[in-house]
Amino acid sequence: MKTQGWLFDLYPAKRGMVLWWITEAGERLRLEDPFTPAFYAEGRPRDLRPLIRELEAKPSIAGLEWVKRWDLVSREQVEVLQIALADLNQYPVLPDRLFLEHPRVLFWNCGIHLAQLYCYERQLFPLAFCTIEHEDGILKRVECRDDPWALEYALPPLRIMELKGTGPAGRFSRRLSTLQVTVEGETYELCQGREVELLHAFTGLLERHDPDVLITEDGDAFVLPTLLWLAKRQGVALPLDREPVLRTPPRAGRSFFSYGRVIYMTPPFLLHGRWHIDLHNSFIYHDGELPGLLEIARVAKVPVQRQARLSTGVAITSMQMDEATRMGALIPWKKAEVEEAKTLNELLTVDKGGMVYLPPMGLHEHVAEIDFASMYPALMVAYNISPETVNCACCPRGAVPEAGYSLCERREGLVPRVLRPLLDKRLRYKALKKANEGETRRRYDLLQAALRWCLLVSFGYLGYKNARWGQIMAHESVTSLGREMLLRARTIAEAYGFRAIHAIVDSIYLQKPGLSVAELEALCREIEEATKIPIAVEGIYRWIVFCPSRETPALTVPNRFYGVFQHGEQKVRGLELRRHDTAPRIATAQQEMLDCLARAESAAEFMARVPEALEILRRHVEAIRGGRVPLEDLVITRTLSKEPMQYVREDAGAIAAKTLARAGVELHPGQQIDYLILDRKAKVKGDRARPAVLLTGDESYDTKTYEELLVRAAETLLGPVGWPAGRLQSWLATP
Amino acid sequence: MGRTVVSIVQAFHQEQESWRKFRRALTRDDRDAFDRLFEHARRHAAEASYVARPTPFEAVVMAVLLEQEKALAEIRSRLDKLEAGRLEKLEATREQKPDEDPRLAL
Repeated sequence: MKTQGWLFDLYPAKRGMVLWWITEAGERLRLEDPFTPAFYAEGRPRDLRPLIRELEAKPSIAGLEWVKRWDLVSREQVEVLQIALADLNQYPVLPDRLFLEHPRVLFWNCGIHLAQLYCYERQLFPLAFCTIEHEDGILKRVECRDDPWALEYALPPLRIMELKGTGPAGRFSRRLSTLQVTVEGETYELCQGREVELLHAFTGLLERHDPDVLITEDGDAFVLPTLLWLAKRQGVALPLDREPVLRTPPRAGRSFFSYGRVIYMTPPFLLHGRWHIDLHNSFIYHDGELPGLLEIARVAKVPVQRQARLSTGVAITSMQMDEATRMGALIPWKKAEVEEAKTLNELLTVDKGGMVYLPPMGLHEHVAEIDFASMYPALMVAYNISPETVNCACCPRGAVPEAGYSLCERREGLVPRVLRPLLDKRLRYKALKKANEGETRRRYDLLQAALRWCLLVSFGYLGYKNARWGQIMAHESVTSLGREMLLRARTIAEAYGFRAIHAIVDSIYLQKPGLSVAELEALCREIEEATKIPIAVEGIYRWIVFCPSRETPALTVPNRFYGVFQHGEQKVRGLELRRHDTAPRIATAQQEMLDCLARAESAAEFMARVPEALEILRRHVEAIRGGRVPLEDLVITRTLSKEPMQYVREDAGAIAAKTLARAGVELHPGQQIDYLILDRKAKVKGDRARPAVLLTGDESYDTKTYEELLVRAAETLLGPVGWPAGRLQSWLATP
Repeated sequence: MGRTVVSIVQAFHQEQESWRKFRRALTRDDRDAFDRLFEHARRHAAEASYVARPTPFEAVVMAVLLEQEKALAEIRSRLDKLEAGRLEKLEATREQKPDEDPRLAL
């Protein structure tokens, strides 16, 4: 049988890969493709001999063969033993065992997700459009008629089902009270009169619509495990997967520390032949929605469900492994899991080797911002920075300014080879976004944003010791060249008569009365000439305010400011309204004050608007004092940094966490809780704060505390222009 | 990502800590002035980090000298302006009523 269709999903079975296709005719087709994954062993003959003897006796081995492969770091071809596996289940576990028994042997190409390995070898990718030939459920021939780097591509029409469940104690319960199912434009409210009825109604919808994608809110931790629980209890079959699989009870999640934050990861609830995307457990989905996620899955060759739950670091690593496979190079094996580097921090503020200045406090006008676009990846591509190109044997030293390392000029490195098409594709999407309007514009924006995340983490993975191709000298070369280029750019700007009032890693803030876009564009072209990397005008500010540090009010911090561009768009960094732990009402009040100030066209108008902003503050303060603010507007969200009972200093958040824990809720570091401050000074600790899920609605909140929080948010805005908290309070005290 | 070298802000902090006894022995007024010295240093953390000298104290001193030089220049220019203004005023009074001076009339 010959047909055409999209590769929808793939996962390993014992003897080969299971591939789900969506054909042009709309058929959902399950095919198997025999596959023998291989890894490699390198070592001295006397160390390899016992390994070979052991492997020859194993039935799970399909074959042993001596082959030549490139070692990227030494840049030599080496002879390695290729170990091909007949049993796919052995691939994830066998190298671990061999590694322990043969410590002198070096193993390569281990621990790669099998679906990805299959894609690299067959040059396929998720959602690739292919011509396929099949017989008796076995794939006979496949011809890929698609290109992951194509800007425009057709996707199969997907049937999407959205699930939203509520439980009697929110997401912390093991019971469902309602289940809302939205599919093909219809919404069904399933209420649990009796569990069996809810289950039958749900399986009925599942069978009738046969969705390709289940999109849930909190499906990994709550909705799907709970449905499975109910089904087990009732002895009802629940066809969540497209082929029957044995489900083991869900593992517990885990907490880990990454970039100054504790993160809690729920174990994924993955489906077979169908995708499950959990909006609460998907980093990429939030930023790029479905188009962004699918774009990353295509270019990175990572199955959609897996990519939905992991950081773009996985995507970057996958692209590198793919490129290495194409080059005939060996893939290093690191035992730690790659996902530890998740959420490589969004901003490189803290320092990380970039130039981070402190801006001048207060209100400024005639200020423009120019930014290097994707500075670090652009440097890696422009200067050929890769683990194997730094200090190569063939090129003169001194290419990296401060460290003096050499950067190979003769052969392009693995990292630039991977990043070049990615940078290029993102720039094209950005251009398409600018050239379009409405829905099309939004789609291109989602696509460029998704690729932006991949580029952003590429830098962190260069210096990360657990990454397959991490190397600290390459990492240093990037930051060093970054500092060099920022200083070059600033010097050129100063020669143009600008004052550089602030600079941070890849952005420069320039001041000059009467500055124009034309002049800035000319400046950018000259900087590009001198640095070899792209820089663009972010915008001209009507005015910008740099805010003071909380600990040292005499100093500013690099990344707390607000300003308005000439076309009216606001740019805000580090204010309360952007933080997750700010109560909604406080954020609203700050945003209203900001909106009021944002109408000012100049610094003088800004100052003239301050009294109006103060009146907004008074209105909110009075609402809070009067106890009129709805409780849900005052709920504060806290991300736990430890187990609830480990908190020694018992502030409101810790008290709320302990209350929840005592009520039987299992909480771990990295999870978020919502709470309300009732009375900070109450004698009984439990009366000071209460978790949001336990609120009855009759509580009263701590007016003093919330007023303080409000005044503090106002101080962030107006403190830099002469209204510190003390002055705000005395102004509020006089009617 | 682990760091092998402490960041410059941490280095300044450690430097400040190492002067704790010195600070404690200061009077309250002097203590405020002392704290301002380290604020000067933090204002130039980017430059200090870039030059990356092994002794952070050198960068602290350089930052303090720089800020004092700027402050001196500012004071000097304001003083110059002030003095120029006073001289002008003085000149103006002399021009206005030279003949009315009783001593000159004699």
